[in-house]
Amino acid sequence: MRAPRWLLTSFVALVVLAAAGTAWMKAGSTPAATTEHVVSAASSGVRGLLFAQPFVLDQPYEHTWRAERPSVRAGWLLVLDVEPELVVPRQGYEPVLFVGNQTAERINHGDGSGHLVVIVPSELDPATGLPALDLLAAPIWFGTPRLPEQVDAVAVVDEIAGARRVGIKPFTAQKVIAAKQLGSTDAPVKNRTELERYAATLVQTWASDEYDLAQGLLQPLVQ
Amino acid sequence: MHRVRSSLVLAFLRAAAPLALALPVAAQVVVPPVGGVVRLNPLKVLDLELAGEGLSGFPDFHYVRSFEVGRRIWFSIDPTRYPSFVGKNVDVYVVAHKTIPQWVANQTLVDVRGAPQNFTFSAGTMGSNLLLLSAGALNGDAGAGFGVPYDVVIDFNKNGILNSGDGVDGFYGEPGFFVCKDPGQPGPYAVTEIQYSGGSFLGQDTYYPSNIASLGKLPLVVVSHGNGHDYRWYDHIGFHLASWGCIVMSHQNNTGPGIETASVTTLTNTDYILTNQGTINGGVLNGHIDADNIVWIGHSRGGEGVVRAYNKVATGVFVPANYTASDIRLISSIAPTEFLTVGQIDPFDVNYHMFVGASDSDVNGSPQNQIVQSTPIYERCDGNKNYNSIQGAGHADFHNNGGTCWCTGPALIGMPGTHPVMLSNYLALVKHYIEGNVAARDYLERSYDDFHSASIPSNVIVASEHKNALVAPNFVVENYQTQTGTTTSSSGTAVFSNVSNLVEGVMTDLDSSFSWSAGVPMNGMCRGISGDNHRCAVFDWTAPSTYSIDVLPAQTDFSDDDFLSFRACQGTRHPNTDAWNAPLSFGVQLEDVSGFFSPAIDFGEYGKLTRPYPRTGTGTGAGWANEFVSVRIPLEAFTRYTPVFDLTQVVRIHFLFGSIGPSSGRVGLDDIEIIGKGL
Repeated sequence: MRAPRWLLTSFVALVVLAAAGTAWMKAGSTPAATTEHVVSAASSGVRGLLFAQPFVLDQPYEHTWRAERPSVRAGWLLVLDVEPELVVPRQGYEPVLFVGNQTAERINHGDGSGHLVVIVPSELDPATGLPALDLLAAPIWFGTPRLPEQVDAVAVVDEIAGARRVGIKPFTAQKVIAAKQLGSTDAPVKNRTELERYAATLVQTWASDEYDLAQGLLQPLVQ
Repeated sequence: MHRVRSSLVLAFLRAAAPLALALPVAAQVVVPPVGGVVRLNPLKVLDLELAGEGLSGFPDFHYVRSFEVGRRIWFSIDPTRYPSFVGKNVDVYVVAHKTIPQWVANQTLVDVRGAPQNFTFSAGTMGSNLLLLSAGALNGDAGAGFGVPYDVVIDFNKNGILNSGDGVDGFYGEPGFFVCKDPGQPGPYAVTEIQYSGGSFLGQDTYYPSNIASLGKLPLVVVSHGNGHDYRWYDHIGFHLASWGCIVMSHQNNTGPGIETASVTTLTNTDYILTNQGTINGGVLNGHIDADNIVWIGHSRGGEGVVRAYNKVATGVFVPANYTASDIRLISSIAPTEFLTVGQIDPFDVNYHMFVGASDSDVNGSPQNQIVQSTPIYERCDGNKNYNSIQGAGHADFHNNGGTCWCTGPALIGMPGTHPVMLSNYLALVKHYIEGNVAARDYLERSYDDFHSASIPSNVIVASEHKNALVAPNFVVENYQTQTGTTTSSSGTAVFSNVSNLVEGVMTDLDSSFSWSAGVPMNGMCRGISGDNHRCAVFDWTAPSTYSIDVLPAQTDFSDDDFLSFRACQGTRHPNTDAWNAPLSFGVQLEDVSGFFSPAIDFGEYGKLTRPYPRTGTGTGAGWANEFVSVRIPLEAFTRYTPVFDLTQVVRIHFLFGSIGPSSGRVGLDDIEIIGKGL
């Protein structure tokens, strides 16, 4: 059963505020800009899963939004409905978006539309040839504000434990299925460049206010 | 060693000087020392400083290097220094600059204004010997170069020929003066912009002179944006610098994951354009990118990223395919973050520049959070460096996308106020550090109050710092880094003072508030994070007070140097600062070995310390981070009307408070140095 909205809201507020405190201790000072951002956004998290599409690449790439920088062969392209204030781009620490045990790479900002296009790396399931990450079992939430490139496996375990403690659950099967139906087949991409450009088309579709950002990702390739 | 040799040469010349000045003008032969070497003076002319600007008070006149088109150019001499000039009627020429060989080949004087001016020297002051050379109409168009050079000639015998005994400003070394086009205005070239991608995080927006095919190799300026920014938001930089002959490439920057990742995109995008210049836009750039002259500009996370990128290359952590650390000739960080450690974000000795916006509400410089403190990176640099704090500028005012300015505080200036500061400074930085242009130096080294682009609106307030890398013959009198007691300077000499609440310490605000209290004397000094050790002195006064530093015996000869340099700031949110509530200056005086004092100079004649930006928040009161301003006082000014003062044996420097400037105040003081000629 999904946690009541008030409980989820309270959890996100707790996680994010506690995280701000942790960040402060690590940095040796209070992250004023981040705190301001977090406080204003503490009442929101990921409101919905709108679209999900698997991808499998011929050429792997490095996932830079994770300290271990794993090599990526497969994953999910997701469109999330998020609290806009939580994703306003800032220069200080920003809440890291987690999908199950992985950090998500943001393609757009989402602060205008509330729609955030992300790439979620996954192991490749050799049996199915599809991403192993099961969206039916993977909670999606904004965790501690920090630099994603500094998030390692230990930090992920902590984040998951925190999410479980306050009852963060995956989206319902109904929502996941609906999102997958919109995504249907594998994204037609072979490498990171194609994946990024395909994600840009999702931005054009789901966050039309960021059309210009998408155009920046779709400049003609040098031949 | 150099200074000792130089002193010996000067001792000889000094002994001869009174005799020389007493001789008839035509008989004088001045052979000035340069770098400790006596140079030939085949035409036996007087090498003089002549061109400059009048000041509203003592020392009355300021010899300067550069004038912007439209600024008045004046001529004057100190009649007490050149008593033999008094009563002489002469012709004064402004001529196109010539080198010594060119003068030797042709001594005919051709005034660029059409005719020379007749002038008679008089006794009295420099004010009584003023001559307006130009009301601002001299040509300053040097094409894609910068600054048209001129010399000023005193033709004593009025024969229209440069011959023995005539005086020249510009005979040795630099020209007499330069007239410069406004660096905030576009250069001579039309600009072409192209956008393309080399793949993931290799999107690039590149600007180049449209006639690039007819040009040679051009400097490469790389722009790395900040988090949530876009690589196509830096048109203002791209068009401006390309119009002056640069290739500017702004690239997709992977800032979302963090600084390490962003630094990689700076590195890889620089390599990409160098590797693929033969194919980008049909190869239009091919052979025109000067890979030995690269500038990195980064904004926000990108501003930290470019320093991290340089640090990686310099330490061998990253090995680019097409360039080395020495090819990165200049780095500029715009409101950079500081996520990483002191060691990771150390620009070493690269030429470094920083812009910060005092109204920035994102990377806000607050003592509450080291991540949003930019300035420690500037402090860390050991190279030549410049710093501009722009009051009223927000975080987003530095790009050109519009939208929210990420700004707060009074007197906001937006992009219309911020961009001219950026463009004029970037041109000066590129011209000087990349092309070795001399005329551009004045935009970097003179006080902002004294000299800046006419394109900058008059309501814009900028606190500017400039510091040379410490190389001989420059030397430090006191920089507070060692000998940390208040009675001994870092050079080991005695310090005397009767100022109040004198404290030397690390420039770190300790209590997460800008508010001042006796227990937090370094309030507003957000110039170091954990691991930094940048130090200065702070103190205040409510009655006439003096802060004096002795000079090492081996360094007392200031006569072969150009400037006494230091930086100072008003202490934010201090009761004395709040009471004064205006720009501030104080006096400086030298004392020689015989106990003679030089005239006291109010450095405010050249430009004052800014009033701390009256922004509220982060504690009680109004006033944001302390804004240091670099002060350079020409050493020759300390002998104005006082030939008896011995600049060859200066034993003590006095800073005078209360007797000059406001009767009470609070300042920070640092980096008291003597700057050698031409440095």
